[in-house]
Amino acid sequence: MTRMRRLRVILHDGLFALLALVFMLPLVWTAVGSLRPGGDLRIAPWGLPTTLHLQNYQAAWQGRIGLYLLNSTAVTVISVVVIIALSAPAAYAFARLRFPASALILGFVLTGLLIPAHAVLIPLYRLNAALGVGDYLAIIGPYVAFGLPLSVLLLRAYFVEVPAELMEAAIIDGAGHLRILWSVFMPIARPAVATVAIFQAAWIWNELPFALVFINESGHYTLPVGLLSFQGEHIANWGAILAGVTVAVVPLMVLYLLFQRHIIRGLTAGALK
Amino acid sequence: MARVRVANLSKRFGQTEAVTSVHLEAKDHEFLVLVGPSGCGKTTILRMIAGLEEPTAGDIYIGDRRVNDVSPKDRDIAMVFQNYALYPHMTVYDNMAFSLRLSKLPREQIEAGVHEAARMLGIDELLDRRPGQLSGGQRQRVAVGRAVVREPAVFLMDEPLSNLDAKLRIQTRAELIKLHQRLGITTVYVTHDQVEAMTMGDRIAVMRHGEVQQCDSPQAIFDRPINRFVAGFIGSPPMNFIDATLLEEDGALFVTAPDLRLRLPHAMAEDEGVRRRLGDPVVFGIRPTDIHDASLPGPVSPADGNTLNTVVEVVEPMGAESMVYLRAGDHSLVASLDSATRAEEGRPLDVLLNMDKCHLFDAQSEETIV
Repeated sequence: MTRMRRLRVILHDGLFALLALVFMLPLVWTAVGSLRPGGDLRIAPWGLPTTLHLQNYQAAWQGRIGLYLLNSTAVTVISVVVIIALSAPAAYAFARLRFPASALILGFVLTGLLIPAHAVLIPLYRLNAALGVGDYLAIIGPYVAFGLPLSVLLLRAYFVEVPAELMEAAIIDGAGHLRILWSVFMPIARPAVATVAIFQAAWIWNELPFALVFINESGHYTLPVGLLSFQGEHIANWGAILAGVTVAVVPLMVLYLLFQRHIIRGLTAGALK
Repeated sequence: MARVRVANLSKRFGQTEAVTSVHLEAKDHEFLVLVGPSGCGKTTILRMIAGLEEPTAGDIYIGDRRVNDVSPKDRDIAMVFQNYALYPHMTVYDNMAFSLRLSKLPREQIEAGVHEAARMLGIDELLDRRPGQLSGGQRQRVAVGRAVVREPAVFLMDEPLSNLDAKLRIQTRAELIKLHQRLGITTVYVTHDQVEAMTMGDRIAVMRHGEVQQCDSPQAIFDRPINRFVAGFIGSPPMNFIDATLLEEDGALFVTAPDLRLRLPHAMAEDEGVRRRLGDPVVFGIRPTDIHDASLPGPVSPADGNTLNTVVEVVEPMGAESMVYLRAGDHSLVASLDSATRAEEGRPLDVLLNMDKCHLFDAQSEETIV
């Protein structure tokens, strides 16, 4: 390796290491801060823990973080399952079936990507009230609705790449469209399904405005709303908040690390033949 | 078993006429090959028989039943695709059992059927593998196995050998012929390879521009092509064509062109259709196998009007014979000569044409005259 080339590699790798550090810093700071007493945090926000102060986690637990975690898990799992169950047949239809105005209808579905959640907060609140829907159902509905456009887009991109002969072979074998979707397309599209699941789970897990406005019962709070309750009007238990945030981040990180290979394949579908 | 018949079948994609008023029949137990260049409509016909494309016009019959409105799964057919279309996430066993499971057959029956088909095709060792773990030849066998296991009335095969290397293709070709002889299932087979068509088909339908040009036995098509296209498409290397004129001299008929004067045999010269074209432009055709080295003993003796003085351009020794590219004035010819030939590149070579085997085509319509 020439000196010039070695220098270039060092610069290149150094730049990416720096970027990784920038992205990791808030996470590391949160995790480190969660192990320090609240007072220390105010005096020296960037300091390192001298002892492991696990009382923050105890405080978070006493603040019902376990319940919020359970609520968030239930809401996220149900929403993601419904999103995939609805978007997969739609994506299959847009990718594989010929029907009138399909491009127009797809365009209409995708305009959902352009609607800012905050703009529909009040209309949805009124709609939920009119329907008599509250708490979990009031947020799962909008989560599914807002999750569908991106899911349809990603799954459709993957389904388009599945060779047409596979569908035709299944048709001749005697399979109907639902059977083809379930037995042929979905197993092949596992990377895309994993991508959709992670994307939607991350968004729903962290979603605050809908949860804050639509959930009334404190026992039904999801993690973001629950964490807010750690913060009073005049005083905030920063140690407990950081412990809660750390607990909230861990499941998503584990999920991402488990499926990251699939996610990259899912996102690059259609980019290369 | 069943015969397959299409009547007046047409298919249009937008402004493009892919298939035009085709009449075809694959008889019971027959191996019918649709052959033609890319885009001639052969695959479209197969897909319409399978029910994967809807005809714009015409009727499709499997057995005595009109199946235009019957769904593919109820047509009692099985199809082998060009790229095999094996389900990549399923094992070989599951690939073969998929259709039987959908038919809700009892588990024991499915197992017995899959194992029997796998044994027949020599893939019983591969049943637990996935398609990604198989070679091209093995995948091809699995694709055939998936079709065989259904015990259909009709096999539809869309260029199933085109993804195999040359050696494996020849081997698999023979295996498919044996399989057809054993099962006797009516087969419609699509290929663009005329050698495949000649060696496999009981009958061949040669297609061009969405129309069937000629449908007959391989030998009949080779010996009596209906037009210049069929004559040029069937046979390897292809027939030689020379633009010429028909003239009469001293009661004999000659095919003439600059540097070329060939005498038609008596039987041809007497033909009414030939005589009608005296003085007209025609296309003279002769197969490479009907050209012989004049210096070697052969089936043709030198006579007036069957000898050509040529210059050898290229010699391709093939072992049993040599492909020799010749030039006679402005005309290029390919000859399949005995390997004993002393043809050398750049040297003159006299060749004899077996005029009894020559063909004449109308210069305008390209229809066969004789």
